Amino acid sequence: MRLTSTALATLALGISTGPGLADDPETYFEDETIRVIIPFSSGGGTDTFGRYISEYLGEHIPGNPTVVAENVTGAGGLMGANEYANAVDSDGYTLFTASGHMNLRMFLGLADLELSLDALEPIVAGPMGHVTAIQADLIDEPEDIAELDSITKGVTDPVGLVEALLAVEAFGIDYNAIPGYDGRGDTRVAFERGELDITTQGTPPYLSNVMPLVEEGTAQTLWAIGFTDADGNPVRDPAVPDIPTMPEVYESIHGELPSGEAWEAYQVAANLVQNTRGTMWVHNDAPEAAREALHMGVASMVEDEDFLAAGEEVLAGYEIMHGDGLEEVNRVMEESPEEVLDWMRDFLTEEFGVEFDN
Amino acid sequence: MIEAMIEALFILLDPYRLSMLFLGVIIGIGVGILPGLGGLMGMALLLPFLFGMDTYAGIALLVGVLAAVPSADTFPSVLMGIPGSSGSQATIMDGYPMTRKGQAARALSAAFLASMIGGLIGAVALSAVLPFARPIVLAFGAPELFMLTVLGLCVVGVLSGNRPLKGLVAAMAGLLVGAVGGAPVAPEYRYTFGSLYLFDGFSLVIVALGLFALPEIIDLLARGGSIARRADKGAAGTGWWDGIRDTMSHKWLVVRHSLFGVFLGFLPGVGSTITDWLNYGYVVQTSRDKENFGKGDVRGVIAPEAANNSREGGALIPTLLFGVPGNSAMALFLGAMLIFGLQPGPQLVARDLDLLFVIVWSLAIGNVLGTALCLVLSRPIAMLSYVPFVYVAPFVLLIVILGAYQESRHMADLVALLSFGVLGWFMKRSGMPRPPFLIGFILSGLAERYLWQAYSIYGWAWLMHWMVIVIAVIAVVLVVSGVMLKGSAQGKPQRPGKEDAP
Repeated sequence: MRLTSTALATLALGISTGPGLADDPETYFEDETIRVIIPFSSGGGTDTFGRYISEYLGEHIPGNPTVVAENVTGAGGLMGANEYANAVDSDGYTLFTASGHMNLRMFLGLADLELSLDALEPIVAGPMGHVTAIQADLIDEPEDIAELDSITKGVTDPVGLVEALLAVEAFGIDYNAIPGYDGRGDTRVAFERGELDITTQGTPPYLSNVMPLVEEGTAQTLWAIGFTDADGNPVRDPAVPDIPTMPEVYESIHGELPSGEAWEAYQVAANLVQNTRGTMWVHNDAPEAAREALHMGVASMVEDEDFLAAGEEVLAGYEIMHGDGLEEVNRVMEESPEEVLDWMRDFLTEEFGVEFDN
Repeated sequence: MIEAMIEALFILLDPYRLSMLFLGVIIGIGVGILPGLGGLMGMALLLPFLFGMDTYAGIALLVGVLAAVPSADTFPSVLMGIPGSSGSQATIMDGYPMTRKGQAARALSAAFLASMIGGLIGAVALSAVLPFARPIVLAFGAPELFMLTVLGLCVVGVLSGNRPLKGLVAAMAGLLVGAVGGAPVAPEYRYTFGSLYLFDGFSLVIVALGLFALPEIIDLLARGGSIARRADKGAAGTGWWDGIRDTMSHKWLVVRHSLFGVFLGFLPGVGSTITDWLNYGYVVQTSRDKENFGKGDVRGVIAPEAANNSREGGALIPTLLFGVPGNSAMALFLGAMLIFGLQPGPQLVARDLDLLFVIVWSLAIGNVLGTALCLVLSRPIAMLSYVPFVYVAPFVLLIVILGAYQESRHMADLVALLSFGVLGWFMKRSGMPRPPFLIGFILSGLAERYLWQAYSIYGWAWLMHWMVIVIAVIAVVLVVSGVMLKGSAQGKPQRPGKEDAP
């Protein structure tokens, strides 16, 4: 009963003073609750990022709303994404946390995924790079990479490690895909066991689990995935600036940057996926006051010493992206030529049987 | 090493951290007792509170949950024949028949003492083996893990008792139902009929609750009265001490299964459910007088209970060394470690030795606290089995439904629960054993995945790996000896009351 009357009171308040409140970012979220949908289970990378942001965001948004993170899991994130697409209002009271690979799935239009990047606006994102290593006994010197023959590469969900797949594709390495791994952790163990010849890991697990193998001499660092700028020039990963990126390694062997469709696709995937490994989205048709208030909250949050101190490990040394910094994400999304995306869809469909809607 | 160990003890003895450990144990007991909720749920509840918390206190809190759940989940398994969590399914086999005979207190105290010893062995093993564990974990590749799933399937023979054909059919049906959802080695979906809910396949919690809990509730209500038969009530008062004595007199059994539990916990990809059933199969197969198994043999309680507590110590090894979680609760633990900025991996062992020992001490102390609390509680809680079931049923039903629903919070969870409940009831009525169904269900995806990986990496050469051959021999011995023993048992007169066996 109490719940009902409170709800009625809120409703009445909303009707009587509605317009004035709804237009003003300073009051839009006053005494409200923001729900953050996390489409993956507790404890994973996306969940940790989403909960970390949720923990601090509320106190920085004007009006100090309560922010509650909720895991809506199932079907590899589709359940949560589809709920955000179909079952919640675009009023800014519900946000969506995605991984970089989830963003790519939305971007490419994975079958059964009903949420589209066209309907979303990023409010904050955290980047995360990846590094590839190879069994030490397979190559003596970097030039040998080009000669490798049918090396084993573990595959989880193919879209989930697309930047690693496109790196070997763009390099022109012949590989044998071994399916059935649950996550990158499993492929790492299989790599340590010697069953897999090559592995690509996020920077933190690379530093903690693969570096010791490199030091003991059983593995060699091959390349960092890294980033590319608007002109396609390699940009090193800020967390591992000493490791050359894939295109740099290619250039040192062949004297020029890679070319071709796999290389074009690689640039799209590497930049989109790695810049947005954790992204908090809001519907882009939410009221302007709501979106403005959220951006104001993020801008204030990233100045908070406590927030930064608590996030040192969650962010793994990468700088959080917000406000104008998110332009890089938008640039990749806007500038990706449709034929490159088509090629990427065809590649994932033909090689791995992944289905897309368009 | 010893220095770090003592230092870690003092780190943990700080009143705040100790109280967090205690809180973790209490929460672990709470979620363990409630059917369907397990360590995963307990840790998920705590995760949001970890940001900004003292690292050692947070770790103690989580390990407290981990240590207490495999003890507390024994209550519903023994008292009502309902799996308390995925790690206590085999306990039902003999624990529940003991309750029906009025020996609930005995079964519980035996289970908890075995759990306590198992948990301590697990903690010791964790600290002793961790420095050398890497090569052992790495020795188990896809072919070896596939053979372990085959071994698991062979246990079906043991669990089917004198109904091997029905057991086989149940196991096959389990394999089939386990194939629903995303295929393990290809991006395709099987038997999902376009429903997103089925993309992940059925949840183990829902299948287990449906198969075991609903049929039991229905039958108990239909029969009327209490769970334990009144006629045997005389035995209840002394039961508690009997259980303690049972476990003491089977101390080597406890040690053996604790070590087996640690070993299985070691291997990433071997979940708590398989650990439980493999241990049960192991104790039945190696006991000379096995006619009482399934009808209330206390050894059938002691063996899986010792193993499911010790396995937590073992399961921490791949989690800490490789950053690969052995199960979903461990995945959460891993997530929590990342919140504290602890990257699991070989250097964790070298660099953060004090943290490692804080985990070991938390596991040991949490385990003793948890089992001691359960031991104290077991006497009054065992009295529940004498309460007329009509008073208990609504509460149990509510908890079971909540347990199923919290898995993914979709309405379809309830439909799935009901469907498996109906299936379980028909199986129970027609004398078709349900554990083989469960084992087939769990191993379906794993067997397919490891077989495919073994073949794509090694071709047919995987068949010649020495460990593959060893496990194959064990599996053959298990099946053949089972058949031969059964053959000799056929000569004896059939025992009555088999329809009560789960």
